[in-house]
Amino acid sequence: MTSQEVNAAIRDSLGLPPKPEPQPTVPQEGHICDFPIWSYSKKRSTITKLIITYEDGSFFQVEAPKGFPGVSSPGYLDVILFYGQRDLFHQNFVELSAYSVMKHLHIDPEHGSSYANFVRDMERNFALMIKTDRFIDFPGTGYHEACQDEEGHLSLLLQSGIFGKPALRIPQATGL
Amino acid sequence: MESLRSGYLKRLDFDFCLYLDRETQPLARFLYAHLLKRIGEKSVYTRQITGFVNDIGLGLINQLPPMRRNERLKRTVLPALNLVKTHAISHYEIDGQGTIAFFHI
Repeated sequence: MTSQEVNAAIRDSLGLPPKPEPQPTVPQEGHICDFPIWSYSKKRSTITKLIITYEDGSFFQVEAPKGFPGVSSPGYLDVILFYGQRDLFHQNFVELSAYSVMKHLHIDPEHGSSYANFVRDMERNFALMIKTDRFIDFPGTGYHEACQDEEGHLSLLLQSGIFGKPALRIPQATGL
Repeated sequence: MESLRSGYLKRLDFDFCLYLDRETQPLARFLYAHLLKRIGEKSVYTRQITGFVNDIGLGLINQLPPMRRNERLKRTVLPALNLVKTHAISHYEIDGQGTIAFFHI
């Protein structure tokens, strides 16, 4: 018996009506806009554009003028999101040291070019530009870009009908 | 930001994500979140392989001759899918019509 069948039996025993089957996902999938960052490509320095077209005629395009980030990049972003998300409930940026990001990933920041690779990948992340018409409720094209303030902070700006505020702020070379 | 604060972001298994990150498995890491989102509350998520490969940013594979395409799938995509089995999906099946089906855990 699957978990869904167990849940159905529980609902039945409680006298509840069967849970309706989820509707076809076409409308919801219009909101889904995954981000295949191409860090698994060996040509990440030379490939600077990725276009995904969908059967419904919509598209998702990533432009990477500085090249696509390396294989550790998803880890950097995971650490920033998971360890920094608490900050986002009371401010519009996350502040983490590069050292702590690498430490969580078991990367030795003192070893070889680890820190240089981190900076290179984050700069590539900040340079990424996204274009899509996959947001059904917000047909305007969304994009994000990076900027640097006078204190040397990099900010990742997400600007579209959905995102309107700076989302990420990383002090350069903090902790090293 | 509003989505995050409203709790609309999908909750992922943080330990598993970091495990994939530390093992430098970025494709598996991407597939983990991708398939969780696509399956949602459905029992099965079905997709043509060509479309699926396109979805995950490997559309260039579709332009290869069939033999090389299958080789690339076996070498890159299927090992990554195997890594996320039991975490994002229970299993997956590929039929003779070029369709891949992912089953809910």
